[in-house]
Amino acid sequence: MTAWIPLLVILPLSGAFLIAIFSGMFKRIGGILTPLFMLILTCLGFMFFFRETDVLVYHIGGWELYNGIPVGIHFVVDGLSVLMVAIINLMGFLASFYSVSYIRKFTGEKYYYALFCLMVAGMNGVVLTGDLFNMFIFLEIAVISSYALVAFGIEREELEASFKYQVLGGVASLVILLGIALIYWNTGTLNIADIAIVLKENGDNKLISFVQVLLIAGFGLKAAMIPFHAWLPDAHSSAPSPISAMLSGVLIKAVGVYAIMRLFFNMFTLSYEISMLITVIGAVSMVGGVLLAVGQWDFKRLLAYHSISQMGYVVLGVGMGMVILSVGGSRDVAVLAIAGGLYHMVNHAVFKGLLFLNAGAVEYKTGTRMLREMGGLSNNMPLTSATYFSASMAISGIPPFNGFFSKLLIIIAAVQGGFYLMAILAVVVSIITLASFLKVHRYAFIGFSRFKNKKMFGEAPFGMGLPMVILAVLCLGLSLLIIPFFRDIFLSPAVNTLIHTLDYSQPILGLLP
Amino acid sequence: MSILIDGLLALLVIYLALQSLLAPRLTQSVFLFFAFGLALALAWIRLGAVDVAITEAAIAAGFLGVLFLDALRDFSPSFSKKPKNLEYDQKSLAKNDTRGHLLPRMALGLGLGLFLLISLEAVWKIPQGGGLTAAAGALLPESGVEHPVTAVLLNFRAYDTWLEMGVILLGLLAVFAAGGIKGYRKPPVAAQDPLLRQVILFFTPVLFLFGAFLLYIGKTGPGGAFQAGVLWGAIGILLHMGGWPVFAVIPRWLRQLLLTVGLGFFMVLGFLFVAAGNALFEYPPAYAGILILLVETLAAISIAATLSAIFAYLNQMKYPSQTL
Repeated sequence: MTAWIPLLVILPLSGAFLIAIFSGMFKRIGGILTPLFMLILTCLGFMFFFRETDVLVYHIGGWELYNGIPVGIHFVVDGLSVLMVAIINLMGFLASFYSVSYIRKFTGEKYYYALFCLMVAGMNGVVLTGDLFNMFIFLEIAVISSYALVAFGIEREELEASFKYQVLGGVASLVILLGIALIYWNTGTLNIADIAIVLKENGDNKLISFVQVLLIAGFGLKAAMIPFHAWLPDAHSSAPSPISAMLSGVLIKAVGVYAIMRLFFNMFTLSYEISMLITVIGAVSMVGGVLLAVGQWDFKRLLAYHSISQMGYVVLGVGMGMVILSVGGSRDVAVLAIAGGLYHMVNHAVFKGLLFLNAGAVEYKTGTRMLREMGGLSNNMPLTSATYFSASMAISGIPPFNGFFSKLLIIIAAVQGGFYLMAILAVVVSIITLASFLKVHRYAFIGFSRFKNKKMFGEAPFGMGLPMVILAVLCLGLSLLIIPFFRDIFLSPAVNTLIHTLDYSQPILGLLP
Repeated sequence: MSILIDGLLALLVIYLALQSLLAPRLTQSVFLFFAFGLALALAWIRLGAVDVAITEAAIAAGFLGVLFLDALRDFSPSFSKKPKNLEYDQKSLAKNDTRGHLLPRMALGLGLGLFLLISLEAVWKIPQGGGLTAAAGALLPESGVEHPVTAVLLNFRAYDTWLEMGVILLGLLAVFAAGGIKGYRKPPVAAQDPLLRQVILFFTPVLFLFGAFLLYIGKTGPGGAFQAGVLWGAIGILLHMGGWPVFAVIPRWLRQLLLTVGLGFFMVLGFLFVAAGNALFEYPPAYAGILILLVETLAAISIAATLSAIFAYLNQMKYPSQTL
């Protein structure tokens, strides 16, 4: 199964290449190839859940270890990366399928699909690679394509949003690159597993603390945690809707939160101060994001602010796990906190992706994003309305939808770990989230119509409806992850990767007994 | 003696950087920036990093310099393509008055200074680790080339290099997607600076030969595809500036071939290795040297084509659209 690993990157990259070259001859090639490739990638991703050994390592260029020193680049498939790969490609497939109908109103379709494929290739690479510098390159591929995709409509507002995103993203990339350079200077290696071993031997020093702060700032900006969130509402609301779903649903997770988790659990030695910093950033984002979201009247901008808030839950859960591990607290509570964080990350990809697709369908049919100008859409667009309802219940944490269970895990872990304030905040934020989504429901979907032209809007086309239905079913279906049978296949391996921090290095460097 | 030279060079670099930021007029800024690039290249040579020095000279002083000169020309009254610029006097070359931004500037300066101090504190006297140098040296005979930097770039970490070429092509795609122009068109014939044309005619073969030399020498010494690609790209841009729009007049298929041949060949090569039962980018040792040279040449061509393509595309936005 190891030989299949590089396909996860090569397939979307060559897809982008083929689309860019041949779209001059065959107009529709992008719309056919992209969903097809994404479907294959999704199947491949899910295949890796059933791998023979816990960790698979692929040596690019065939360069094996030389005296225990990794010379080449490795791809590593373990519990955490396979979980990320599965959600990235599943969302990629649904969003690209949705795009086929949605993107027809734009010009320059071929660039859209080529950039879409490149973005997916970048994200797959970030979560698969075992090399720090390689991770940086994949990160650049993913975010540069997203800059162009945000600006895709080339209206004034979109170009401004993209420019702001580029400037802040450029600063973040620079900070990350500086951190990587300092790590290489100090340890003399770029392989994450190897760095972990060297850092354990060297012990703590001032430089490493400095690098940790640099990386939190850099990846925190990519993940739009609160002091670094200024670009997200503009960028995520200006992009075409399937792209918003990809950006909010998976990009900020793959290049932001995943990188923080991988590097801080599996590479650095956990320290109390840094773990507490991450937890506090998560809590501040959770509260701040929802407070900023409540007052919004632009549908997609409101969703974008909720992304900050929901990612706050994820970072809070993972951060609490870090704090508990670093002070040597109960392992069971740490497992619960990290599982809650990861579970919420999967759930957020599904329901936030669905919400952006709903917003896209509404905008596609009515031409507006302003909630005050809508009303009564449940009569005209019953499918969009019903799927929106399930997603909004999921994001507000109403049982039996998936959001309820992941939030419950985080809150139980917070209470058991003694983070009482965080537990109360998590409950309060959930209630405000519910209020905010009921507002959208009240203004957009029920009541009388406030549209300027009083004509009847029809339902969105089939190509847009099907992904929304699949995601709505998933909003219910993912609740099953709480059952031990499914949890052991999908979630537990990822949690184990993070809990047993040093186990990551051993199979990669061949240190197994 | 050498500490004196190094100290003076370090002071010169900082002085030129500050002067280039603070110069009152754009022309001065641009020329000080050239000087800064060259001084920085010298500093890299003193540090023993000849590769970085060549890249610095090619990109900062050469490539960026050409772009800046083109930007300056738009402001200049005699060569501007926009008639309204003729009305401006020399003042248009002066920077905007920014007295109102004193407070944010001071805050930013203080913040950056603090960051610099903290970073110096953090990196002070931290021992440098060195695990990879010995390993890369030991594996050099297997890699097919004799220079460790080339071996790392095109064999040990060939995958990274392939992706970097993808990033350059991605930049072009992003410009196309956000640019909103469909395809290239022939630019209108405009008055050209005769002196510039002569200089360009003289420099084109020199730049080409120097690029080819850098490409070939990469096997045994500092140099390689990226440096050569940048120099060749500068040729394309210079020709466009001098009124020979090579990139806009060649047929579409040739343009696409030039742009994608580097990445595409690398990709096909990778697939062939996999099909032959090796790992991705695992060169057969016997052919590694020749394959690497081929990959580098095609990569340099694609890099040069991409750089000229971006320039040509952005440049044609300046023409008034009725002269189609």
